[in-house]
Amino acid sequence: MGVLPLLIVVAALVAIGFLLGFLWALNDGQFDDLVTPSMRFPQDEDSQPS
Amino acid sequence: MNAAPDLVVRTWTLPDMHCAHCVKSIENLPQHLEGVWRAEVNFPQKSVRVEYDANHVEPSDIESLFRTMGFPPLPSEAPSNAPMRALVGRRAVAGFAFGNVMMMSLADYVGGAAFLESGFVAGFKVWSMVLAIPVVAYSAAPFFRRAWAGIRRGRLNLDLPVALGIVTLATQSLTMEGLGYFDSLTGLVFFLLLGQWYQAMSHTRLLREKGLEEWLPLHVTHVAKTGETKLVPLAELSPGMRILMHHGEVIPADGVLSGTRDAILDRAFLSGESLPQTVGQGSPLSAGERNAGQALEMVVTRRVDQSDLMRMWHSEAFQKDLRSSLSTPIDAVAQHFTWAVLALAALGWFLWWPQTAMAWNVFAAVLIVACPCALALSIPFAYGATARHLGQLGFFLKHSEVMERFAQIKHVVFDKTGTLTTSDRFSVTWHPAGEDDADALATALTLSQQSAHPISRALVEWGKRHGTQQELSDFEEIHGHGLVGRVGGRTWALGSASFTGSTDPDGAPGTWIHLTCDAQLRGRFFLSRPLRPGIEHQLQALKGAGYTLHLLSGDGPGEAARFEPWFGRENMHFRQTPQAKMAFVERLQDDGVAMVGDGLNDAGALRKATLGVAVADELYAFTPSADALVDAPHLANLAHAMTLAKKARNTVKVLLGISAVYNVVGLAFALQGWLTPLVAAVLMPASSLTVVTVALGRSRRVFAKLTNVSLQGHAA
Repeated sequence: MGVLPLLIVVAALVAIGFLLGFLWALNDGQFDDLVTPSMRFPQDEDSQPS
Repeated sequence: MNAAPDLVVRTWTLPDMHCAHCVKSIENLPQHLEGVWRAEVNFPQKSVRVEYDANHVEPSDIESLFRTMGFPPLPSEAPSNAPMRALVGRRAVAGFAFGNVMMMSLADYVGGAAFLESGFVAGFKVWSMVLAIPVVAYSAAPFFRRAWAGIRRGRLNLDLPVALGIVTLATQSLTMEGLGYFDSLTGLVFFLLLGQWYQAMSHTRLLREKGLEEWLPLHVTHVAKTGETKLVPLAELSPGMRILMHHGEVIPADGVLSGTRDAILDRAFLSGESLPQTVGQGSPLSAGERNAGQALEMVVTRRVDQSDLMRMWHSEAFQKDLRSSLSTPIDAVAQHFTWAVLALAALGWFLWWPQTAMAWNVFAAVLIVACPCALALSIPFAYGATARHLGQLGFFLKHSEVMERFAQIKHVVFDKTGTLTTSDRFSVTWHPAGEDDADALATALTLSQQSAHPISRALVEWGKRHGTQQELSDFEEIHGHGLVGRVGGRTWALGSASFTGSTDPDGAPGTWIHLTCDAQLRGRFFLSRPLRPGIEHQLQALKGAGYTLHLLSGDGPGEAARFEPWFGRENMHFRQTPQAKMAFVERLQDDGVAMVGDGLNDAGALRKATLGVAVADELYAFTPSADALVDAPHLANLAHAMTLAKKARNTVKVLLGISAVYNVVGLAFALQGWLTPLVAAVLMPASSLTVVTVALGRSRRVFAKLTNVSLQGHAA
């Protein structure tokens, strides 16, 4: 009985971690445009200078 | 020594990008232009965000380069992403909570007694509560806000019962034994947010509020006193400056034609006249006219923002939305829904009254079960699905509620030039005076080839299949009137009635071009703008469906006979100013009027109409603000679009019925005190799923039936 509650707590923490990670990525603008990145793949030269 | 880089970020809209290759070319901008650091494309919005060093590069350099690459730019504002991100965040939190809480609830529903004795109940309940907090406080916040706003305005909306339901679910869960209703709570919020997401996805962003500035060029060529030319932005134009307008450019400011040559102007956008006009030196020029001839030079007399065009656009009448807000069938239900629910809850309380604890439980149960999840999903999915199908037909609505208006239309008013007719081509017919005169025809074409006037070019274009070149001497072009020359020893004249000494048939000036030889009439050409493909069928279908059709045109009455079969003489009005069009539409407002137009001359009328439909040749360029936008080649689908929108309303009514059935079943459980978390957790997803499936299914069926019915003659 002891290890199961512990595992549930750990699993919950991991899940929360993923949610926070998602929200961070969202705020970073990674989900703003989901279409254009898929159009960028056929590039043979080096990527543009930043 | 380099100055510290002055990094500037600017966004442009490039409507002509259409493929991955375009994206790549545009994003390679830094390699083509020194000083540009980065170019990032947003393809769905057709925009590019450029970071550049202002010390090295001017915006006009970038714009010229875009133009050279084949992507003429429009000014643009970088849209804010914050609202969209907030919506995604709310959905994510609600979905996360729902998934986790549901897993724990399953342990309860499936495990039964074994679960209750396991010692996990307390822990799971705490964890469910913790997850529910951000759902109520963050994800559901907009519902509470809108419910409160509705109360303050005295107009109750559907968010109020939703808010009540959420609150009741939460309080009941906290005070009761067992895991509570947290799964239904988080599920409810998640489903409603999904519905909003679907609805938002179904509407494109083509109808953002566009300023008239997008119709004007970004820069114009300024001719300094020394004669040298330079590109200047519009904001720098001031009275007295001399500018050069190239062929095809739109004049950005009021002014006066200078130089010695006549100019040819296309006024279709401003006034709806279909044929270009020739004006002489010293004539006034208005912002919004397009140069249809050779390059012209003009002197600016008023600043860009002081032009008649700008002032009309910003005037009170054009801006204010004077239409009464129409209510959806859902709104009607929503008004009474909350009261009905409270009444039923009170009824339930009274039924159980002697047992107070049970009475309150039943009261809460009624509030919970009546929570209009299914009802609130009806509109997003029914209208969202229809909006997608309308998009396939080439019609784009500003927002879902516009669909409501289609059912109220009795009159349809059409603009002529640019709406029913295309604005880029002429159709030409040749009417010889005597027997078929190939000789005269050839002469006419020979004369035309010497002129750059759009009408002459139209004749040449048409005549490529007919006639051969002939020997021509003493050619002369009298601007605005006609051409004259000598062929085979005789004097030929080609031009308007007054110029050639002929007369126009049935007094319709401006569209007949006469050909005379030694002052004797040899034949006439009739020029008109061709109708868009499929329009005849379209007008017939609309007439057959019972709509009263009207035609308002800024053009002269020369083409009245052509349109009479569908409109009838009394419903056609010509030489209409923008104000006249607006007044006409306003008079029909009470009966429900749809206006279909393009160009500035229709902007006021489009706003006054119950339903304003703007026709656009290019979807990303400027069109006057309206409720709906149609891609020009697809105007022929108008009748279908109207039917589709009207049927969407019926679908909503069907969905209301389905929701009602579920509500009745739920109430039966609630009033008898049987609304356990399990029952709630089954009823709500079941009703939601039914509503969504029926909404999508019906919409698809209606669309399939409509589009299969007529495959002939419609641009797909």
